[in-house]
Parts: sequence; C-alpha cells; structure tokens
Amino acid sequence: METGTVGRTRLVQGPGLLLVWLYGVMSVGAVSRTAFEISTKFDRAPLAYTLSGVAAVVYVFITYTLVRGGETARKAALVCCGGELVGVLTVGTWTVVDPAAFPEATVWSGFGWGYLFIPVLLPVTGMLWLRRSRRS
Amino acid sequence: MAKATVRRPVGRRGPGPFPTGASASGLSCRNTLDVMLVALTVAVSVAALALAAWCGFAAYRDQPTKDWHFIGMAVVTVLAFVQLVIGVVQLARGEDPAEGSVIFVSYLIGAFAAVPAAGFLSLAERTRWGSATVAAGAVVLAVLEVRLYDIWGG
Repeated sequence: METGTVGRTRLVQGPGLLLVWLYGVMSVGAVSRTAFEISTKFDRAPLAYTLSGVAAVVYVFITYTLVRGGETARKAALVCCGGELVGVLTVGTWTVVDPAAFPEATVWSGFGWGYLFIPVLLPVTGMLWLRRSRRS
Repeated sequence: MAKATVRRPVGRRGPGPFPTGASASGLSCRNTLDVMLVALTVAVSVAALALAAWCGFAAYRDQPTKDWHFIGMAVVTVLAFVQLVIGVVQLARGEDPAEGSVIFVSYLIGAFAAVPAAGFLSLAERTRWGSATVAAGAVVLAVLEVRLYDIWGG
C-alpha cells in the first residue's frame, strides 16, 4: 500500500472499499432513478419522488466524503449516516403506516426492500466503520 | 448474427395473431434476437452469480482477486457487452421495451459497467475486501439482470 497519504485518514481501505462501492451503487441508482422520475412523471407522486431526491443527495454526499477521506470528512460522513438511518426509518415507517400517501414507491419505501434492504443496512455498517477508523 | 432482417411491426406486445398472455413458455419470443436477448439475460445472471460465489469464496479464504478472477470478470463483461449490443439493435429495429427505452438502455449500460468498475476498485485493494467488492458488484449485476428481464418483457 502506498504511503503517500500523509495527514488524511484514508476511509477507502479494507471494509471501507466495500462500503464505498455500495454507496456508489446506491448513488448512481438513486440519482438516475430520481432524474428520470422527476423529469417524466413528477405529478404522479411528488412526495415519493422528492424523497427519492433527498436520498440521492445523501448518498452522493456520503460517497464523496468517503472518497475524500480525512477527519472532517469522517465526521461529516458519520453525521450523514446518522441522518440517513433516521431518514430510512422515518420514510420506511411512513410508507408502511400510510401507503395512500405514496402512489409510487420511493427509494426508502418499506425500509428499502426494493434494494434488498441495503438502504437500512448501509448506514449502520457505515457508522460502525467510521467510528472504528478514528482509532486507526 | 444480426442477419434476421424480418422486420416485425412496432409494438410486438399488441393484440397480434397470437394471444399475448397465453404463450405456454411465458417468453413471448417472436424472433431470433428476442430469444437471444432472453438467453443472454439468463446467461449473464448465471455467470454473475458464479462470479459472486467465486470471489466471495476468495474473500472468505482471505485472498485478494487474482488473474483468474480477472479473466472471469472479463468473460462476464463480454457477455454483458453482447447483451448491450443486441439490446440496442433491438431498439433500432423498432422493438419497444415494456417499461420504455430510456430505462432499458440505462439498465443495459449499468449492467455492462458494474463488474468492470468493481474489478477496477479491487486492483488497488489487494486484500480480501477487494474480492468482497467484486462479489458485491456481481450480485448487483445479477439484480440488474432480473430487472432487465422485467423491463424488456413486462
């Protein structure tokens, strides 16, 4: 492994690589999905598509902070993972309790079952990894 | 390969001479390329799952991705590329995917890019986690194939 990364904590190494890969996939998925939905059929389910947009922004931001590395980015990513978890749980519960508000699915519908529940697992593993990489 | 010049009318799922829902095989295949596309979807899925198992096993044994893994990734990628070409040819011939051509092409490109992208990341991570990432990439590809099947056939 190269030693040219002076000063900045590398977050993309070991398990962090798998994490950033999954965040990258979710980013691409959520961004392209939202772009398509909002540009072609926004009127059909404005709430669901807006929430998909929020998810997309969160995924892109976390991916960016993970790739960038460093202590500030680590803290920012940690906060965002917390926010992401709250978002998944809130939206997930909302879609289960009040399905009528969601004529179309959003990324975090049913805690992300459409994405193999990765949306609800990612922030948890993300926070574990980000807490651990502070010590190393 | 692309010699099937019989031009079918647009909207192959319309009320044609065959009752659409009653096809015994469940695969409403009306021409050679259509059969090839479905066959490739199955082939890519199986190959992707095999690659996922293989790289997952390497991760389990604490090994990084090696030359043979990259050859496996290349095979899967070639299959996905052929699928991309045939899919685009089908669109050019006027076939209409059930969920629209924009989504269809996006998924074809995503399916083509998934494994090479994960393989590229694993080049820099010479540990078991590189193998685990490729395994995850292959699983993503398998999921995309299932979606592609729905997008094409409805």
